[in-house]
Amino acid sequence: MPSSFDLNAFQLENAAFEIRYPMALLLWDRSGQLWTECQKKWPELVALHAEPAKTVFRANKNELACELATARIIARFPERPLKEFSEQGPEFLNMVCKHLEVDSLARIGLRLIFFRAHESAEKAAATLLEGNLVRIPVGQYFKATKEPTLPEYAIQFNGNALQTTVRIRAETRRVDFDPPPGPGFDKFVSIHEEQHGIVVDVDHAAIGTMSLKQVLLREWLAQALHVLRRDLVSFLEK
Amino acid sequence: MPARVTNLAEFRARKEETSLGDRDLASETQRERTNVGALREEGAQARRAARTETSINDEPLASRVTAVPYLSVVGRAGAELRVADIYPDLSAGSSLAIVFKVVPDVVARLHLARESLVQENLIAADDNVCHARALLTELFCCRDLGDGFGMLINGLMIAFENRRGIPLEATQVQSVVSSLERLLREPALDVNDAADELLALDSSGLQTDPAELDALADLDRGEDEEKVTTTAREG
Repeated sequence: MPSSFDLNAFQLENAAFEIRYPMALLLWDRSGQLWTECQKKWPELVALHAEPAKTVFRANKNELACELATARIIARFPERPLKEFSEQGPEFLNMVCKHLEVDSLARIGLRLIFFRAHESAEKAAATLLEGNLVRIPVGQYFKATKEPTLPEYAIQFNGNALQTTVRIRAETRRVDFDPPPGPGFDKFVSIHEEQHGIVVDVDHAAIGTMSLKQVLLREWLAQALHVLRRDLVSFLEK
Repeated sequence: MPARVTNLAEFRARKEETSLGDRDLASETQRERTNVGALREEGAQARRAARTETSINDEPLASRVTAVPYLSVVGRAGAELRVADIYPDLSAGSSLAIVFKVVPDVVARLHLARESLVQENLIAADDNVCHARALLTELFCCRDLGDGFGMLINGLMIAFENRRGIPLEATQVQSVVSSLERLLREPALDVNDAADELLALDSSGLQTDPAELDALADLDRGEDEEKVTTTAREG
């Protein structure tokens, strides 16, 4: 019988690869150079947000962001096995380090968010509780008359420098969209719906002072993806 | 401190200046390197001691699963990390995993070679160097890790090739070991760092440029001299 937490049944909604570094004030001088090089590399680059301390662009499905002490790439609904993300991410972050003259990192992190839809909030909660990740007491507690809902678990695994946090929760999302009145929007319809499901949110990071000469971001990302694929499945399906 | 080189041509020019122009400078560089090496070794010992202390303190935490999601018990601010701690899985079949498997083997072989040289057992020393050289070819396949890495491994391979079977001397073995140990500490070293390492290898008497390149340089120099003579004659 397939497990309730068979990750293949989940959709990968979000993949983020991020570096944090000591405040790089050169961002105020070199932002244009950085994004010009990105534009040469990825001509489809579109500006999403620009202010002195933060610039965000989109290249295809990926969102690239650079801030004073952080830079990241986020892929929304990426296609597995994350080939484009794995190539573009390290390349972009290396460009950031080069232009901002970053020579040490304080954190490298990879975060993956998976989602699996269920018919109702109760069904999502029941599926999560079936996993027996914690013991649910039998009987009535807190004068509750219904089954518990919206369970949420968080657990952290720590190594010498590596830290992995896994959060699993039942979630209800509400989407409310009303097209603005005006010419051209008459073809759009309002959307008001709820989506129930289970979210698996995993954050894997190396934390501490790292010289850039120690860090090969492409290697780190490839290894992190490998470890998450391997360990997350065995951890959740147990 | 010498100026940083920005391209290969500059590096070659600087290298030529060091190796051909001023032998005193080369020996001075070697002496400085030895002093710096001793200081680095002291620093490394201190760091090793500190790390041992940290790892002992960390031991219970490493195997513990903390159920408080926002409490960070790793990566204390300012703690310098070792390469082995940073990467999620060095046992995977990546280029870096190969480096971490092969380089210690090469270094161990070279240590054995150095010991054999001290004991004046030249055959055993040469045998270990040959083994080390054979292992280097595996690192040659990992040049995609970076330009600095590729440049240094290339230089080491050429240095062995240029020996043409002549056994390495103890100082040369030591300088190869230093370079390889740096690769373990800083696998993402840049071209400037690789150039520094190659200069250090050259200072120990190894030749990290292909012999053919020297022949071409001689040819070029010869042509230039001929042009000067012709111009002088015409003048």
